[in-house]
Amino acid sequence: MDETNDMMARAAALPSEIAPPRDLWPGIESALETQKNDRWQWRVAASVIATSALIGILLLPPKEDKSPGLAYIPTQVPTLDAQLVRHMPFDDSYILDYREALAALDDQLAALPEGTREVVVANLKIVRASIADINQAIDNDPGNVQLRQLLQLAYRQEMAIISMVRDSVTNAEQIRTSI
Amino acid sequence: MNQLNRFIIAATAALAMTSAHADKRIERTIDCSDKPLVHVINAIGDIEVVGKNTDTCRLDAWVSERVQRIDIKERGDRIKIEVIYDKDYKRGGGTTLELVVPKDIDLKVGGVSSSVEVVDVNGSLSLQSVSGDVEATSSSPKIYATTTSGDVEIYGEGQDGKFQLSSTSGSVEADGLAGYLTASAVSGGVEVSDSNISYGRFEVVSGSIEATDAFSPNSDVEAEAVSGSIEVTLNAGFAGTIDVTTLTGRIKNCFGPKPQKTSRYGPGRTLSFEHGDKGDGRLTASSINGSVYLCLDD
Repeated sequence: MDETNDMMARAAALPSEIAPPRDLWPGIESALETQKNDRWQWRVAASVIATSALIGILLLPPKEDKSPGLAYIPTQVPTLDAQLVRHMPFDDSYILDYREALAALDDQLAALPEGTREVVVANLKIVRASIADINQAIDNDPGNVQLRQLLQLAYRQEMAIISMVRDSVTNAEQIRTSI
Repeated sequence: MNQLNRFIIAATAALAMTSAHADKRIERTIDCSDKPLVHVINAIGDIEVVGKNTDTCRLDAWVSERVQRIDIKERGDRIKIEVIYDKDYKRGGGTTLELVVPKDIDLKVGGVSSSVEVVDVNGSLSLQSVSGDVEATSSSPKIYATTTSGDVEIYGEGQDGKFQLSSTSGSVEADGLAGYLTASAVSGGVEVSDSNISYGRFEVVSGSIEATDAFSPNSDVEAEAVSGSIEVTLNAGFAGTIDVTTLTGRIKNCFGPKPQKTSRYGPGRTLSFEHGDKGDGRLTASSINGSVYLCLDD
């Protein structure tokens, strides 16, 4: 519980407003100009990559589902990788704690009623999809403070879900000690 | 009546008789006069606690055959009532507890597969379950109520206090409360009505937030959703700042200015303005993929 509170406090202590480090617009404008000129080359490259990826997916053998309902988290919800945190200034220790919380999540989910477990997994996916959407929007508009605030909201909600699961399991374990 | 119907009726009657024999009634009366806290633990089965003008606690329990005993222990300033099950409790039924306590006592209730209902207990309440609803009708100034897969419903009498309510896959409903309220849900909704909240913090992921006739004039309100919608009706006397943001949702404001796009180059809408006569009120509402509806009470 202390660990949860500590992480939540640290998440809450993240800056609520993040000003862009400098005026980014001139750089973006010139990048957009360059992109316009290079656009046909990118289109050719993108179609080659997409075709290769499609062939690769079709040739791969289907993955086996090892543990129904639980193995879904690491396989279907992306783990916390560099791409996902590229616009959020987490410190290293927070990311370490975060990864530990995610690693413990599978076992904690196993202790939940099946229907609730499905709800939790579905909502974690919603949060992760939102994080990906916001990251993409920030890529296109790096100086947008509101987008960074929404990203912070998404991370806070993800941690809130993880904490709810952990607290629920802890409460149930405490009560079951009487059995 | 055909033979199949006769068989079904006979089987149902036999099951009912078996069940009636499996449940044993236990009654206890406990002196609670110098014990300000009652702690009830029942892993399986419903728990109902009613507050009355009395100095004694009366327990009525219908226990299944898997129950070893009910422990009633006095520890310091508390009485702990705990149902002790056999190790193979999962094969048997649960225990229904009905408890009458002094109405101003502090109450702590813990269950796993349990619905919790509390009526007229007005000391501080801490109510927890995992699979089951948690419901309280109380003028308690301090209520903590949480469940994982069930609904939380709290009905107050307008008392000022601190209230913390949460559910994972169920909804949270608060009515008749004042003061400080935090309410969170994941897939269920958060609904606040007929209240006078001065500080409110509401969080959902895919559920919705609906708060109508819920706030004091200078309320400080934060509402956050990921894919759910937010509908907030502020007090007609609200004076303060309003900040609303969404990535892909709509913002609809029935007073004040219209929302703006946050960027010419991507998604995002925002609405920020001052309302009223330079008050301390504050509303921050953000939904990433849901819409935000904002209005004032009539």
